[in-house]
Amino acid sequence: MEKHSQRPEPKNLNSVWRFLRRCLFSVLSFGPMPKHIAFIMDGNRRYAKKMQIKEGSGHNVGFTSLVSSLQYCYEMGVKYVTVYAFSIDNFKRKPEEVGSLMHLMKEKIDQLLEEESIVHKFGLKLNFWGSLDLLPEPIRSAAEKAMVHTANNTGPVLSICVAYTSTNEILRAINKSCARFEDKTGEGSDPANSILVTDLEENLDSASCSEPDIVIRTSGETRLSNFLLWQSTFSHLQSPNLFWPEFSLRHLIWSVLEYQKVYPYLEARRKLCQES
Amino acid sequence: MKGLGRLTPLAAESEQSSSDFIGKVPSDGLVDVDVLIFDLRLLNCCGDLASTEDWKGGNVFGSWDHTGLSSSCTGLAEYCFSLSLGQKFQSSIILKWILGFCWYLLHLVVSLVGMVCFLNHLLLSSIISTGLLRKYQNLKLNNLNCLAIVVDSEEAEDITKIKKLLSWLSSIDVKCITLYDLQGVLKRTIGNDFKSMTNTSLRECKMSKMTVEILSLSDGKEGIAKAANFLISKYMKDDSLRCNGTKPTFSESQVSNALEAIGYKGPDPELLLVYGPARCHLGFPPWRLRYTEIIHMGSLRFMNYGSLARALYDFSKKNQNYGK
Repeated sequence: MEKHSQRPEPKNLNSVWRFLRRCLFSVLSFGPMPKHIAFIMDGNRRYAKKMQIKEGSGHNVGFTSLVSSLQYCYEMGVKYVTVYAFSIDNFKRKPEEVGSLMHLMKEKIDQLLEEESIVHKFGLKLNFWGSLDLLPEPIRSAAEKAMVHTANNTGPVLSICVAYTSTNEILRAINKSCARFEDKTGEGSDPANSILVTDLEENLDSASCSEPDIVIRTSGETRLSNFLLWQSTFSHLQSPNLFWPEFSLRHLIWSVLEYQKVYPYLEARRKLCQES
Repeated sequence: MKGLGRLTPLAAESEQSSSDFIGKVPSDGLVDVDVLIFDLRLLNCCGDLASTEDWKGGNVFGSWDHTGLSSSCTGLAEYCFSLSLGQKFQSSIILKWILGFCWYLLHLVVSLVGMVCFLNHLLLSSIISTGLLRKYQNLKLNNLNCLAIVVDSEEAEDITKIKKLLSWLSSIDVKCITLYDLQGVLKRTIGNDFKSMTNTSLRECKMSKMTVEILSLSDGKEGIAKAANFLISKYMKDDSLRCNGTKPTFSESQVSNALEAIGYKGPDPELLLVYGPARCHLGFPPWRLRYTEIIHMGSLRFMNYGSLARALYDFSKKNQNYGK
């Protein structure tokens, strides 16, 4: 008897919780809302150490945290979310760790494409930014498959940076711009300022997205570690002092409130820059 | 006059984006739904209402997943949205007031917390400035080869503050400083001062023990574009490379060398202090910002020696993995 009455309760509680969340987001929407949030998901290993679990499990918990943060972001109306999953510098880690991270990535990419995942819930479009040719074959093809599969989705966009560094992204944009220039012009022509900032920006991985409004790096570290250096000109940089798996709704809301406080200043600077 | 909004599920081929949904309300004697009232009964009726849509115009109190609507619910939906125009207008104003009040309340909390943190910081900085705390004297800055300072352009007009900051840094034995502001105010003011003093180029100046470099927005992304032009220019002139049929593929070190060749190269700062209302690097040259610790110091008007010493001390205690 008791079991029977317990079962419908969680569903009602969930609904009430969702309703309260939406009320909260409606209140937040009274002020300017960010359209693009970027996350540097730092602190998974230290979290695992703190909770005394296996180091690899820290990344698993981190993924769960990612999915719930994405859910809240998209419910709030954020159109673009970018996450720093794996840097080119991370290849320097121990081979076993790199191997297990690659394995985890493949598993999670496949999970994202399943029926019940957040991708289908929100009609997400997936992008993978970075030098994908540096990735092992199974992960690279999984990533490409995911991009093709979600290419026609019109919902919010999730960009996952793997085998990515900002300087590498800028370099690839330079190479693409130069290749295009070479194709267009003939022999012996002198470029002299033919390649403009806008040409480079068109060839960045992030060409289809707006610039990030907020860049959040967890674990209290204050550096960008070669992430979105070009795109973060007017982004509000935030460094909450907690590990990524601990990042939850209240931290996200605090983050948006802090952004709303500085929005007038950043927007004014952005407009000044566009005018000049 | 009654205003009734009837929601119809979107066509199965979801080519239209969800934001077109309001436009789909039929116009035969019906007005746009101006206020969406969330009815908890609907949650049970329509199943999973997980997604949030951005509605054009009007106020949203709650949100709607159109795919959750079943035909048996349409009657209930019509009930929920039937409001007279007068009522609709009043309730939307009241709703706006309630939302706005809650929003201001939230921001009051944020401001209070910010104020407490600021006072806390000010107190500690004042104590440090008096020289009572031993650990903030004799800072060990072996890790710091170059310090960068980003200043808000409006605040940068106050030259005395900038000069004071430079003198403090000189007293702490910082050897290399890069000053940056978005609009080039520092180039115009301090840069000109330096030029007249030492007859060197606008960008860099060697003071007694310190090298000071002054940058602005044009030294960032535009510098990289110029480096790209430099590289492709060299490539086009080099017949051997082109005849090979290889596409121009440059490496990061080639880009760095190109930046140096055209005079846009400088050391990568290990620490960047932001003096302004927000923690934002405002377009500092991206090629140099890879592993830089970025610290927000607050407004230049409230700058004090104690917070500078504290920032440098915290930096000296940092350990970086560089990805490992």
